[in-house]
Amino acid sequence: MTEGTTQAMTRDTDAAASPSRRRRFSWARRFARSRSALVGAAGLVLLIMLAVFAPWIAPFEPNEQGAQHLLGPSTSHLLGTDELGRDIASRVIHGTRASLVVGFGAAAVGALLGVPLGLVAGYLGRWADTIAMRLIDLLLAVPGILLALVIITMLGPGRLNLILAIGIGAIPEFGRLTRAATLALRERDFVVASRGMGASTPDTMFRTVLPNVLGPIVVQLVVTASLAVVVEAGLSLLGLGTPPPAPSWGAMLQDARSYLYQSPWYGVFPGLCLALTVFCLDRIGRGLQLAVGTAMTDGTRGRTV
Amino acid sequence: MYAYLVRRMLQFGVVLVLGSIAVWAFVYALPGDPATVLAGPDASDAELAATRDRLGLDRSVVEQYLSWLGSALTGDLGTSYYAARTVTETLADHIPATVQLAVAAMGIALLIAVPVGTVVALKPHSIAARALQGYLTAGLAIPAFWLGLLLIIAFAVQLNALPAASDYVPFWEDPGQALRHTILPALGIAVHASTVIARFLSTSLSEVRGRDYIRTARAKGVPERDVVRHHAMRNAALPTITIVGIQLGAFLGGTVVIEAVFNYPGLGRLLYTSIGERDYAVVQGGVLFVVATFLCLNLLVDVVYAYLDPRIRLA
Amino acid sequence: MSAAHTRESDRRTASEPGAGRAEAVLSIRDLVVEFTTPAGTVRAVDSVGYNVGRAETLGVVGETGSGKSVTVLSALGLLRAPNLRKVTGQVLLDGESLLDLPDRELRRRLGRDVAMIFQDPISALNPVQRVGHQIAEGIRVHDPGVSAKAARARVVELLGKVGVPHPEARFDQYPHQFSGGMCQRAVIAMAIANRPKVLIADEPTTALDVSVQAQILELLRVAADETGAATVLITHDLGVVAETADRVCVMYAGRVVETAGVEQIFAQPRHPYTASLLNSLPRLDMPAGRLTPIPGQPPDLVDAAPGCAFAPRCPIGRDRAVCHERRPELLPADLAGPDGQASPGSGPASFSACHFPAEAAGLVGAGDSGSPGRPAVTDGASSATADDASHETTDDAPHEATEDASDRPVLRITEVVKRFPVRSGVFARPSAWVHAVDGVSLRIRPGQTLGLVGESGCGKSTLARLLLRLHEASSGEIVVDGDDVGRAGKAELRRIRRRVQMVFQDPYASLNPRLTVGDNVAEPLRLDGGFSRAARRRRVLELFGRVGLRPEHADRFPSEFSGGQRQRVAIARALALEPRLLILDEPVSALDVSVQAQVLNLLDDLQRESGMAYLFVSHDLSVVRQVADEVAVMYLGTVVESGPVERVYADPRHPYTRALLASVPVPDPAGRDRRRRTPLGGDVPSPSDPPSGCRFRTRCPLAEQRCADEEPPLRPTAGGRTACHFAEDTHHLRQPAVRP
Repeated sequence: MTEGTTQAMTRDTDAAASPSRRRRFSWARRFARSRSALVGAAGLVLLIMLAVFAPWIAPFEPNEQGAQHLLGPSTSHLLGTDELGRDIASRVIHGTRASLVVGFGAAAVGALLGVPLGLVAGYLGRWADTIAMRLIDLLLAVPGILLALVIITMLGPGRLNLILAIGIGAIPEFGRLTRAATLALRERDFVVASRGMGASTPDTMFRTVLPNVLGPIVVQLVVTASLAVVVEAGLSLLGLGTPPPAPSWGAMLQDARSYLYQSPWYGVFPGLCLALTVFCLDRIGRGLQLAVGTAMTDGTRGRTV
Repeated sequence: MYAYLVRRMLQFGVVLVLGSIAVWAFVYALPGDPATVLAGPDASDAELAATRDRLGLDRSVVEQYLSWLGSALTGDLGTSYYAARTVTETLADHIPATVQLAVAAMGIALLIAVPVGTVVALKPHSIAARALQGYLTAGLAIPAFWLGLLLIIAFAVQLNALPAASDYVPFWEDPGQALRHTILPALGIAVHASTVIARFLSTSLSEVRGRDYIRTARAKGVPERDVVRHHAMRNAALPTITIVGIQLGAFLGGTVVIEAVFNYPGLGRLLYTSIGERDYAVVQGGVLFVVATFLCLNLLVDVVYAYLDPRIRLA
Repeated sequence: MSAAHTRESDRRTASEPGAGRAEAVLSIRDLVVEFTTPAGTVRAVDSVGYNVGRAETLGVVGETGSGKSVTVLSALGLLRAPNLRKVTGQVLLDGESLLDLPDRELRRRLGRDVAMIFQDPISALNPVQRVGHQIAEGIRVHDPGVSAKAARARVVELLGKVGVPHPEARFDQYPHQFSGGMCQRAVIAMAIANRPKVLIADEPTTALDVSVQAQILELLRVAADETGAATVLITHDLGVVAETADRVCVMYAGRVVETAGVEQIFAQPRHPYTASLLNSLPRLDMPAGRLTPIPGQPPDLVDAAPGCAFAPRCPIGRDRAVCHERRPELLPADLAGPDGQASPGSGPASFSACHFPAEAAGLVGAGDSGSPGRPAVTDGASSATADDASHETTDDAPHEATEDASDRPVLRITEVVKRFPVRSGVFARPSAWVHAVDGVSLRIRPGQTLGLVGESGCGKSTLARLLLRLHEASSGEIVVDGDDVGRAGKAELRRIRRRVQMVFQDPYASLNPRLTVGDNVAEPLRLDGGFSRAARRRRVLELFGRVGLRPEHADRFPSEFSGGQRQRVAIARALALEPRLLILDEPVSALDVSVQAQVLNLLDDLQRESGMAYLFVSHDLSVVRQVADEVAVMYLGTVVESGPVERVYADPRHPYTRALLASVPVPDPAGRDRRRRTPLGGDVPSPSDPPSGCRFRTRCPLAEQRCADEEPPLRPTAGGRTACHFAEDTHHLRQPAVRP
């Protein structure tokens, strides 16, 4: 530094110090610091592998009726056989597919419909908000599984309809979450600044607000998937979910109910897999929640099926 | 406060109207002629004609809805072709069973959730809290209907201590039998619900404990026990009330799957069997009842909330 | 006051930092507080020690993160952070060691022997409990024998004493029914209820307006006098310290760097940080020259360097090896240092943690003009001072520009009104209107700065937002550079917004956290549409250079930057389209004094280079005087006084302006007893139901019947404009009554 280099130099000296050395903690790193979240993630990866590679992993065809009926666990049939002599282990493995596809599919449907709804309601306010909120109130007033039942009745059976039916029930969660986050952001300085710079309303909504509410939405996506997995199983148990003969954990539980006395272990493993899936998703959800730093989601979370 | 509550009532009124439209439109959305849908697959020509007449299919859509709404308001929700009784009577048969189950389940859930949530929030590093964390994790992961099935296997099949299929025995008629028949399904629901409530309460409580006014109370010299009792608990309870209300509303809306698992004759199973039997008039009436109940319960929660929170009460 | 008395004892125990150990009621020694963070262990408090004697007021000053609050909170066991790693050292309350007491026993002392007053009074009170009960709880918990009735009577008496009107009725109200100032009074009542020996006030007035601050400081003084309590007043505001403290303890980066009597600290600081802090402060009691900021930013406490924490920013030690290698201890300043020249008779003993304490005093005022006693220092520092000297005279340049009659105003607003509905009832119909801005007319000429001052809720920020049509004005005309903002269509509004840009108060909230700082700066260019990606990039890098940021940092995210740096980013973004007018909404309020000076100087430079006009909105009268050519004072939605800065500050004609100026604490303890504080009584009335006639009349010492009947127009008075019927007579005005 020489004398005479004035302004620019002084300015430089005070701002030159590099941004604080605090390392950048991306949410992925924060997520990875939680051991239970990692356990959940590992479990989910395992479940996805099971679903993808089911035909190679499963010892039998899921619908192959070769063996004796209602056998107990043995070396040839690890988890025994069902009332038609099908291998339960193979059916449980194949059942992962229905669970995960419907679970994540429904969560995606809920997010795709609910997020824009909440964004518009929260950002535009007034009548848009009133209409959106009443719609959401209405969807909330019918318990998810009942809503899905009714929608399935209207749409007819089938996996896609199942995804739609459960997904529609998830709209309120996404809508309310997005609306609340948008409301909190709407008057934040950087959003006002975007407006002040001449950005159009859609530009501000989708380029400035939306990326900043994605964190909680991702958390909700996982939470919703875990709920949807249970609803799928519940509907299948009622005979309105995954259509037979495709294997589904819920349907297996329903079959098991008929043979409680002959074969009490029949219903144990499908339910256990279901619980494990929910467990993994719950751990991931919690880990993400801590990682993206969102507070509790509102009270609609986790209604008992 | 009154303006606030009246506004909420109006909002719920709007939702109820929307709900009634949706419920009414439901039969029209089903494949097939609404009259056939409502009268049932093996209705006689005369029955069909009567239904068609009642629906007024030749009138405008608005008129059809209004006339349906008019009769619904007077308690006439149509006839259940299967039971050959009015829908209102059919619903009235099943609602008390569901109410008894819901109340029992919520009672158990709160008995578990409040102490668990409190301990987990106040002493997060204690051994007890760690064990309870395990309960919260497991309880949330285990679906109520599977827990129900396990309970049946354990208590009915193995121990033969309780009935595998639960009947509805009104509590005031025979408390002992009522308990025997309600305890398993109620427990099945309550475990899951208790984890949701406990988690919410504990998050809320730890959050409140970090607030400035808690520090003020400590700086005043208030012992920690009283800080929790007088300052933290009340503030943490406020948001928890909302979630309890929502849960209870969901229970009353029929815990369809658990009722199916236990063959419990509640609203949920009625709706489920009615769908299976294509008894759509019952479905219409049942869903309308569920929506109305849920909204009333929410209104009740708003009243309680407004009463407990001076910021709303005195607004 | 026993200040002189404690100073005596200072000399006797010169080996121990702090005053009168013998009489010390509260004594903190070697306190260390550490936190565990993902980045490592943070030592937030590092061997801090100070004493406070009976009836003495100790001011603890420091910037954000200096550890001043953490020190007292951890001393009283009130720090409950889950990542708290350890608290060691000694805290003696009347000789009893607090850190060794079990929680139960400690609680028995809290609120009885030592009481605290917190920064944010509204959140310090339980929202669901009646205010009176919260105060009564503090009495009954220490004396269960007091009946509810007796406690109530005592609380009502206390509330009256701290100046809460209608204490009987207020007892049963909830905190949300109290204003901020009233809440703080209630908290003070709570604190003095048991006549504690020690009163600790942690930034008690930071969340309050300046006129309310004056009331609360006065109240604190009375409370301390009455109870004879030792007072620890923690603040970032040197003015508050100068007005209230007997002795001062300056903290930096978790350590005490200097303690001394209040006169000595301000007249002859023994630590370069103290001196630099004084130099970077815009103040009303001195001519407004260019400020001397402290370069750089406070250090990261994670892995502290071995030397003096201030060395990298220090004009004395920056290039001295010893400062970077050896950490200076807190020693009597008159004896310390290798070349320390004892300066006997320079006042009571002081302690400094500097290797060269004697050089520090010479730094004071070095920023003004070549004042004598500036030490011969290194190149780095002298380039800074040379810089200041070169700007000595340039202050007048903008004024000359305004003489040019051909310049039409960049901004002209006429009779602008903004009303917000207060919705209530079942249908949320507007039942009343908040007159946020009520008939304001202003103009700004090119290259000039208009300062808009007023307390919170006066409508100044709303007005700023009306200019960009972020709110729609209810009536009136806003003309930017000849274009009517209110009538502009979409495309035209866009063109206007190009020429008017805004910088917001909170640098943590004004940048989009999901974009890199470079992309944040490029946003206006992207929205403009006329720039290619490469052109945007070029422009961003050029802007980074102009605001003193390193271009290579453009790809980082806002979270990696400090507040001052973020504000530079925000300024760069505002400059992107070369606006004619910059609206600065409290641009330095969220920044520490030393960084604030950096940003103010930057704004000054940019204006000189580009000829932009500024609308500078602030609650801080000293800052506005520093930057503005013209100033307008707002009260309840109207401008009560406006004119050139010199006129408004030197010869204020409106009673409100006078009171406001008198409320600002002066960072100079000399003669503070003669400057009796003149707090404005009461609170600002609700803007939804403003008083008839003159809006200020409810708090005005001059108010007469005429003021209620007739709204005074803003009329030319003594070279400015004043909206007061008695504008010609106000300079005779004696101080208003101290207590309401």
